[in-house]
This record gives sequence, C-alpha cells and structure tokens, in this order.
Amino acid sequence: MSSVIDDTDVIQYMSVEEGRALLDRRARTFLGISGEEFIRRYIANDLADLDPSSVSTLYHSLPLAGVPQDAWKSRRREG
Amino acid sequence: MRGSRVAERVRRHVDAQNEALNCLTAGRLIALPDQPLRVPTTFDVQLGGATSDDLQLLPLRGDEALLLDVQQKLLVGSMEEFESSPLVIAYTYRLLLPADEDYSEVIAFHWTPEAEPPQRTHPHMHVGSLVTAGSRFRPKDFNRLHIPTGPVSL
Repeated sequence: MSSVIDDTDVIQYMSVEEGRALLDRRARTFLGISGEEFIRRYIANDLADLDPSSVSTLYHSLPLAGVPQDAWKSRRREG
Repeated sequence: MRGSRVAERVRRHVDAQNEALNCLTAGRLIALPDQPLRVPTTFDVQLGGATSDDLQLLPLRGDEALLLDVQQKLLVGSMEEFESSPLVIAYTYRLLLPADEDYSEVIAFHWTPEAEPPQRTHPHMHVGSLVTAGSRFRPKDFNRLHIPTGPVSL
C-alpha cells in the first residue's frame, strides 16, 4: 500500500498480505499475541482472558487479512 | 451494476466521512480489501494516511498526544437502493494515548455484529483503564464492561 496520500487518492486497496501484516502488528501491540494466534483463538472462541475492547478492534482487521468475521461458524459446522 | 458505479457510491460515502474526520485528524479512510465490485457487497475501511503509524493510528488534531483508530464495514445495497448511501453496519472508533511502547485506551465504541457470543454483537462502548484506574467503582475491571449504546456515527 502506498504511503503517499493526496487529495485525489480517496480509495486505496490493501492486499491480503498487507492486511495480514497489519493484523499481526495490531495483535502483537494490543494483545501481545501474533496475528495468526488471534485468528486461531477467534475461530475457537478462546478470547475470555483477552482485553475485550482490543478483541473488538481486531475483529475489524480480520477481513483485511482475508478472514471472514463469521469464520467461527465453520468450527460449529465441523463440530 | 457496473463496478465503477459501486466504487463511486463508496467513494461518495468515504468522502463525506473524511470531511467529518477532517475536524479531528489529518488521516483519511483509505484502505479497502481488493474484492469484486458487485452489489450487494460489503467493504471494510480503515483510517490511515501518510501521517499514520504502522498500526494505522492517527494523531488527533489539536492534541497530537491522542491517537484515533477508525474502522468501518460498509454495506452497498442493491439496484433498488442505487441512490442511497452505503450503510455503516459495523465499526470501531477508539481514542488511545501512547505510553512508551504501549497504548492506553481512553474510550472506545464498537459494533461487532458477526462476533460469536459471548462476544457482544450489539453496539457498545468501553471506558478505558486510563480513565477508570482511579475510580472507587471496579477500578481494576471497569474497562472490561460492555456499556450498551445505540449505533454511533462519526
């Protein structure tokens, strides 16, 4: 993603790789875990010991990383 | 509907949101996942810009100690709703204060409708530990409480 924004550059697209890197940085900073671990624990609904506000914040970073916010439903279907 | 017309509707919405955000920060809503432009569809947008850091946090105008974190999910409707603006169907709006390598939350508004219970799916807010730490009422965990709100607009 370009780091230079001008007035005509209203919408900018983020690749899944860039989204995963952003999710990883945010997860490590706000929760002290990697992005991959956050994805795993989100799908497993293993979040009780984490800061709930940061969990809600990272929820919004999931689609940028290519992970649907209802990905936990796949666990229920398989279970 | 042609993809360019969907993009134009999203662009108009983002423009209006950025105009509102301009009162608060030099940052802009910019980042969207690269996905097919067919309606109905959703877009995930993230505040960002040249002045943002690696976490896409933006300094608040007038008080650069405070950082703003904004994320939205937009719904772009069907042909019948062509003239309507995209709807904000989920969001995070959060104010943070940086401290060393960490960040302290001041206040946060969330709506995460597709989360799995017991995660909250209704709009709610958190009062950050930075604010509640000295409180006589639940000083250690007040920040973990989900305080219900209506949908919050920028």
